[in-house]
Amino acid sequence: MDSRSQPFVILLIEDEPADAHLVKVALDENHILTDLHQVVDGHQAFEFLRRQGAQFTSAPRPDLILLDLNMPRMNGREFLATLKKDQALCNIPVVIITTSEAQRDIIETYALGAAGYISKPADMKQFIVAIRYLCDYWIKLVRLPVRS
Amino acid sequence: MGNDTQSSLSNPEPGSGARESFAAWVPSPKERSDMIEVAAYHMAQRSGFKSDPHDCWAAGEAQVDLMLSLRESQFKLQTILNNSLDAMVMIDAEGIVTAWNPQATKIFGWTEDEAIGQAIHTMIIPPSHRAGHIQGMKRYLASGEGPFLKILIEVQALHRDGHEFPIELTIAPVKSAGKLEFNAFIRDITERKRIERIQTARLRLMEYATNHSLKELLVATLDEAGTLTESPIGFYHFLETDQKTLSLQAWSTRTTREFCTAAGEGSHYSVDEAGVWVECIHLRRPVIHNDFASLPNRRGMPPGHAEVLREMVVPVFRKSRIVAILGVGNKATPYVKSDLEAASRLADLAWDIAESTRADEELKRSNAELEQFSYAISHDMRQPLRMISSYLQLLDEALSDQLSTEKREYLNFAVDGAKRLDQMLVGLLEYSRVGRNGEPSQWAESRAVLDEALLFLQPAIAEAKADLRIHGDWPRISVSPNEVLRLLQNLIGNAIKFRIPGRIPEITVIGETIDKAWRVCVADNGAGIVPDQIGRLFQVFQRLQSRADYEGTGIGLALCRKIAEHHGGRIWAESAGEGQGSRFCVQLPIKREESANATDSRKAEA
Repeated sequence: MDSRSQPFVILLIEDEPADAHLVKVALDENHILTDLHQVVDGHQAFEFLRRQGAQFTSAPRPDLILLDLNMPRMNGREFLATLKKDQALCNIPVVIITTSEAQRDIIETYALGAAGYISKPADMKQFIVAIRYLCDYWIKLVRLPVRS
Repeated sequence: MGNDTQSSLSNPEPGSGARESFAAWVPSPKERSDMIEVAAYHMAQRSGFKSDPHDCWAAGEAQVDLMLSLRESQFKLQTILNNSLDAMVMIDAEGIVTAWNPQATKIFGWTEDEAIGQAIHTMIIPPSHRAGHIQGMKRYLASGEGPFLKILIEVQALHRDGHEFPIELTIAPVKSAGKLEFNAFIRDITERKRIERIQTARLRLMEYATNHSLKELLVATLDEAGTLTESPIGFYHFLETDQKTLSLQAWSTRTTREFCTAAGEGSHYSVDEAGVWVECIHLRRPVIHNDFASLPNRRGMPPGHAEVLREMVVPVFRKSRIVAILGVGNKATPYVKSDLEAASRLADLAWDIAESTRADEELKRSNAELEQFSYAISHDMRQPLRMISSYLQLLDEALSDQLSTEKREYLNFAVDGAKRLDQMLVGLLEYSRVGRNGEPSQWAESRAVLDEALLFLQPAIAEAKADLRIHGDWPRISVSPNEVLRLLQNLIGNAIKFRIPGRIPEITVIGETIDKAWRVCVADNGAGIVPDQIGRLFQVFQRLQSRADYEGTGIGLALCRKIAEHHGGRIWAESAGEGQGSRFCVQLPIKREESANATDSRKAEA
């Protein structure tokens, strides 16, 4: 977090509560302090990002979006494509985090503007390590647009 | 005597009969001698009998021989022209026929006697071309310009019976003794044109098929058939294997536009209940009904059906079974044999294209299905599994202080099970993809493929301190390199994995060219196989060793078998028994390589 005064905001788009919880556990296990928010699909993600609806009126703008691919209603690909066309939101980096190892998914999502692609390891210990690397990179290493 | 000879040489009687007898006459030695005597006498007379009689005789002999040889060559020329496959016609500067060979009679219908002396344009030039012909003649006579002379041209010609047909011809001006004539060699190209039209229609359809649907192709086929047979109606049906059920596939464009079609595509008909238009199925041959209205067993047309005047229906046979029928109808004149050929050839082609299109579509469909299945495995099924193992691990950690060793073991079993199931899913995925990853066969150095496999295995080889030897032939092979790489990697990997603890693994990899096949055998001194269990080795998820001794999912050898089979080869295993080591062999057929380096195989020792 370095010079930031506010905690690093992550928006996790994941329909499976158990999966979402694993991300939270992995962050805790790594003692990484973040402001983690979760929504269940692309539609809800846009409501969050555009602060639409009562529950999101004070939603913060995320520094990073973690996106699952297969979700009901608006899936990950559709969400990514729509986000990257939105002038106000397109500069938020999106990292795909999914079980899929399919080349098709990897190629497609990078083409749509994904900033990274992580296949979730089956082993919990490896998953915790993966989340640490991810946060080291996005929170400590890279410079991101300053939230306005 | 001499005069007689002279006149018969220069003025053969008209008519081929006279010409035959003229040609058949060959002078006997006595006759020849008499002719020379007459000629010599004329020579002597011309010199006032002052010349040497021997010189006169010699000159007379030369003259007679010249006449005889001229007569001979003229006869030859005449024979050639009479037997020519081309018609030969000569006209004078006024367009009057001066020569007409038998072939000209055959293709235009006028005999030589009728033709000689007639104006050519009234006989063989269609009225629409006559003015042009006369003008062309005039221009040439005036200016010497003849753009159509001495080149091959194609035009329509007129037969004596009034029908027009295509010919090709070359016309050349012939000047002799100050007289201008035109000579033409003419060929009837009706048949060639007809075949050309069918052929071009076929080529157009093949081209069309590459970027159009099956339905569109069938309509296009009917349109071509309609043009070739001058038929406004056209339909194409598939006949099912039972030989009883027809399904309408398409109407021609004109049928749809000009006639009210009673039934739409996909309609099914029973052959037994359909009208005379399915007669070709009963009779198992093409059928022409040129007078449809008078057919005794004709049924009434369904409402909205076009009035049929005449029709022709051709069956398409495959393996002595009718698979489709193509029908055309309402040509203005009766259907003839050439219409039948055109329709049959197009119907045939359409079926071939339809079949390959359907095979393509089927392959695409099954590939898409497999893709969907693979995706379901790799994402949808593995996700819940990951949940199971992850949360079990979390539980294990959270409860670490409170659990007995035995209960922690339970948790570990559960985690192991979930992880193994995950590996099995990945293995099954790979198994299902053999031969379908879209990698085409290509020529590869088998030794290079082996080296790449060894590179992947290097850590395992080092860890086991394996003694690995490579021998034999490593030719160029036409294979899917990634699959063969996987095959070699699995076989050698197994030889390392199934080693006996405390025994240094000795592994020998031998390549061998046998007849038209290439065989690779991987032999080891490891765990071996109980011989009566060998049959189970290559089945999916079958394991012959306990998991406690050797890790694994049981997919590796099944994958090897599928890869070998995909290459048209086979795989087998040999072992003297448990602890006796084993030998796994794969044999792949060698395709003949066209390039010169086909024999470039390498001997390797490692």
